[in-house]
Amino acid sequence: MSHAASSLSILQRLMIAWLNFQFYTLLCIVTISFAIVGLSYIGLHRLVTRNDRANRRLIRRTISWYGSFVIRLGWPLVTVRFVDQDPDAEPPFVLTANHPSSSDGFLMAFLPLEAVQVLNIWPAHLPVIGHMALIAEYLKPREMPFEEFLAAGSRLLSQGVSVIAFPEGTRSGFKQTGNFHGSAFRLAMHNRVPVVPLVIFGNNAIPPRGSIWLRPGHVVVSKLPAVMPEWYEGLTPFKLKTQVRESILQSLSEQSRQREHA
Amino acid sequence: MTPMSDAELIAAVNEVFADSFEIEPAKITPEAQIFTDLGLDSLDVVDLVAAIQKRFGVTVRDDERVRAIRSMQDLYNYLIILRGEQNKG
Repeated sequence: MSHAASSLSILQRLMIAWLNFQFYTLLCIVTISFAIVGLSYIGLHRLVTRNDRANRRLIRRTISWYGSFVIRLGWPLVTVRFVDQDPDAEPPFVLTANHPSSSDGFLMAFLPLEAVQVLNIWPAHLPVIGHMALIAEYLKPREMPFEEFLAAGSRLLSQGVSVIAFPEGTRSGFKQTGNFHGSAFRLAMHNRVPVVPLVIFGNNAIPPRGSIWLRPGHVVVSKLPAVMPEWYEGLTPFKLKTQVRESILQSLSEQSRQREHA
Repeated sequence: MTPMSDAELIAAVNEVFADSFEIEPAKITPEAQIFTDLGLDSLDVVDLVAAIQKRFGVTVRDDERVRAIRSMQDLYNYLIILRGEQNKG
């Protein structure tokens, strides 16, 4: 970081300082607003409707609204674009994404569907948002046996709720995309639902691994064509996860080439 | 376990990897790390144990020796020792 920082021009340093001042100031305002308004609305809704399914849907939508605000707080120094290569595919899905940065969870707010995320241990312990995520039935496979994860995920899929997983398990940062864990793929196969590869490109430094300081950049989230159950039938879970990982790596490589030539 | 030489056992283990996980044979080397190089995870290992038990007619117990396996060479060594133990028994 110190070596990288020393190679930056004064203008670049000013831009980074401005970006972080803007982002974190607005993040505080948005988070406090959501905590007050969102939680009050959810509480009121629970009192009035007493419908558990509707309440959980509202909480998931509120988390998604929060995410969609957060990913725009860095504009214009951080821009985010969503590309849907398969808009006609019908949810529920199991969506599997590469995991370059801690901002990836927020980027999922782009997806126009009701979904829960598969969480690592630490996000579930974040104040307010972590608690809301658990009420919304976000899954924590590292803290439950696989059979329990399978049962909980299957119940959500049967209700039409998609499941978003980061099968690397941890952020890759600037390193190559890591190996995938197969639990999400096994969940998809068990329920015969499409697997949708998601490709997150350009946010390795927004923020870099081990830091909270954002750098300017252009992020693209691409939803690749769904891998339908008829297609993966007969494959082993290992083969399915390997092929989905390869399609993500291929897309990352293409985008990297395009950006170099732009 | 059916009597077989070390070379035959190694070839049979490699065959299990190629058949069960469709891993390219060129990647299955003694030095290959099962988790990092070949990409298996904890659930794949359960499938692997089942495939090995079926292929060799042995019982693989969840003990320290199994948990210490990291590379293909570790796995070959473990199965060679297991073959010796089961043939004695």
